[in-house]
Amino acid sequence: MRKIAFIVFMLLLSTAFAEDYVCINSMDGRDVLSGVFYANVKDLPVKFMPVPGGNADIFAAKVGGNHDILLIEGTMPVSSFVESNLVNRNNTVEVYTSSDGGVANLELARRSGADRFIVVDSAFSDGALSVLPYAAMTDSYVIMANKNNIDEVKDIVEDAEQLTIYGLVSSEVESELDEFDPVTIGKGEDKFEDNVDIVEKTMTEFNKDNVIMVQGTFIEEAMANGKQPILMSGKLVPQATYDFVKSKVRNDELTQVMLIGNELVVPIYDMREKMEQEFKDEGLNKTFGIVVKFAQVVPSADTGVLVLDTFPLPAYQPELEIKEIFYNDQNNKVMVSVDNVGEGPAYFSEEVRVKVDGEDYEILGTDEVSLIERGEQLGMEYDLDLSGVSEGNVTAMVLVKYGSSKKSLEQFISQEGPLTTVSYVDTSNVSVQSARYSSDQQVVRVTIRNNGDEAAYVFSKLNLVVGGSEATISGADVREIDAGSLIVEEFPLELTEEDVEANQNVSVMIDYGAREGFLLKKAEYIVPLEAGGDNMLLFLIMGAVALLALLAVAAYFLLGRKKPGKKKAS
Amino acid sequence: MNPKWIYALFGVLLLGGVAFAISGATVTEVAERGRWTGDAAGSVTTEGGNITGVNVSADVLTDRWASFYGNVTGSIVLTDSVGTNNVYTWSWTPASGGEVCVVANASDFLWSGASPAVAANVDTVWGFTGVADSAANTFTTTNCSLTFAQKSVVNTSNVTLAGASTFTTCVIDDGNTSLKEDFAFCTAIDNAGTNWNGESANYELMVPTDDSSPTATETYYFFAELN
Repeated sequence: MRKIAFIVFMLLLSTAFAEDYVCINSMDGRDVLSGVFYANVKDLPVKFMPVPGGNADIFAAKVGGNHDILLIEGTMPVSSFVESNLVNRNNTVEVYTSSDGGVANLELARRSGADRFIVVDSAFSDGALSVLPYAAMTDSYVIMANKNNIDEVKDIVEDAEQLTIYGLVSSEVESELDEFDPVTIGKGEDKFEDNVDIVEKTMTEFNKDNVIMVQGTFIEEAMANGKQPILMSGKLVPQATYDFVKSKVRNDELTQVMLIGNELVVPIYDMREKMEQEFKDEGLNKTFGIVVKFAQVVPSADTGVLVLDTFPLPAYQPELEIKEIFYNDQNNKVMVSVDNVGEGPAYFSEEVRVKVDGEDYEILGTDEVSLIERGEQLGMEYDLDLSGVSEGNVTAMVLVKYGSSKKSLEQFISQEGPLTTVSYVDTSNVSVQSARYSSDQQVVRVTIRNNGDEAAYVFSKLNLVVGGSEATISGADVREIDAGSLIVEEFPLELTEEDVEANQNVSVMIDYGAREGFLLKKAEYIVPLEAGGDNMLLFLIMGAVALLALLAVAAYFLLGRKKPGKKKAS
Repeated sequence: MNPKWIYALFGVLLLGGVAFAISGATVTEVAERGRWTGDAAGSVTTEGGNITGVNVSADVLTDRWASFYGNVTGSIVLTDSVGTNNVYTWSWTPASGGEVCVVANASDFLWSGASPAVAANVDTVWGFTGVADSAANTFTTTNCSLTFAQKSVVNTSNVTLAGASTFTTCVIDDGNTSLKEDFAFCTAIDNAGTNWNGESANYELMVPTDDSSPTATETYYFFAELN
């Protein structure tokens, strides 16, 4: 009944005010994307207030006059003057106030009247940007779903003509939407592979021979209108992306790449040069055009030349830092420590060039790709014999390539400087003592002891069964333990009775060492998982206190009886 | 030339970081709301290089035409996120060539469909038919050729700019001619060019402006193709 009433209300509303333009004035990127999705379904022009640098006067000048505008305004608008400036230009303005970006995404889905939907994960923007052009071309609305809003999402899509799931979504979203038999695009394993899939589909179905290439960290007007597929890349072009572009160019199916701003100019030009040479080696003369969009001007607003209107979006981008590089003359190894300061796990490989007086002396490293968890510091060491170097300035250059998936190391960081020599022997000794689950506080507490004579550092992971499946939970950070001391590492976790039953013993893996960042010692402990509410402990304590009190009272009376009294005088 | 406005000299770095600070929105907050908030996007920019690049200056020629000119300089390097170590170096100078183009109102000009344009079509779309400074009366020659990476455009309408300018503005379309965004106004980058004022410039071009009404609005977008 509520749904019917809502539909009737929206129909009445839509007939009363049929907008011909959509404007967005909000600091919430979900409002910006939702407004764009809405406008594309309705085939309406759309503009959003840029961040940073949004100016209400210039915005209104760009929109122009004599429009019926739907203004989507967040509780945190970019500017408070947008509505009035639009009205002053002879526009009629209806304001839709977005109280929450997630809620607005769903409300605008209903309002759009779309009967085709594409569902992406709500946490990051990569998926939403990747599907934006395909959605625009198929009049589909993009829903940003998660386990908290899935019930309402189901309500919206239950009568959909077409439902598509793109990329990685949470298991709850996937299972709840399964009943609608959705089309799936992308395996959810690698964002660049998924992106290539949707771009290929768009180019093929709609006969497009040009793409926009971006890292996915912002949206710009050219992307918002959804007329060109959006191909993702990093500062290092992922292999999946490279192979896709090359294949398309080879078949004359890609003639033009547009870049927005400077962020990908060098890697894409570099890619083209490399590709041209590879084609030349095959006897082919193939290439593609690169056009860079870089500025704008609005003469009627009396502006100078301006940067483009963009809005930053939370694309998932891993971030690593190089913490230490040094040479340990105790074991003749170069040691490099990398710190994951990003939002999630990352994969990386590294190369170390040891130089003497600026010339390469030895190149070390591994092609093997390692995983580094969020908050983890990982040290790598490589054998290096410097005995042959009697004089000269020894330096090292470290290059770390990293990315969000094993196949796509699309970012890099490097550091160069003198190679410091240290004498370091790691005698640390750390062990796991116990593990206990508190059902009241929903946390597993692992007690770890430093058995050594000096401070040590430890990073721990807990392996156990959750919901019938094995799960590994990492500690929040590397912990320091003083010599001879204990620490308690907490793993917030909600376990059912069945889970507790399934975890009579749990595995705790620790990486530890005497230097933070070089946790080169590893150990695994299988310990019983003690379980119970904290109330039980409280009762025990109370019981002990009560017993002590009883004993004290008893002792008082007993001692009091035996005390000699005074004789009465006769 | 009767300039109405004087635009402030504005250096726009085409391929540099300072004026074009697009920041990724990587945030450390776990909450979704914080992640999506535009002003919480405080991560290090992931720009591709540190270039001393293009600047653009502008001037108004008549009520119907405006001009832009500037320089494109410097080499381009790709540094890491710390900004100290160069991993790739790609040297480009104006001598390498390229084009700067301006498109009105939208940015979906189909570069792959670039074709010679007819000045009269510009008049039709902009409403300049019959006026003294129409496109037909301005772009009076058709001997401009431009070479883009994927195709060449030959014998398109063009105008050699006045004064001391050494530049020619060429108009091309993308295979369609019904909307303003179907036309691009381009010029070849010249290593040793001069603008209307006799100053050194790597490019200069002129574009039509919308004078149909006080509320008319036009946004011009700049594109560059570097060889």
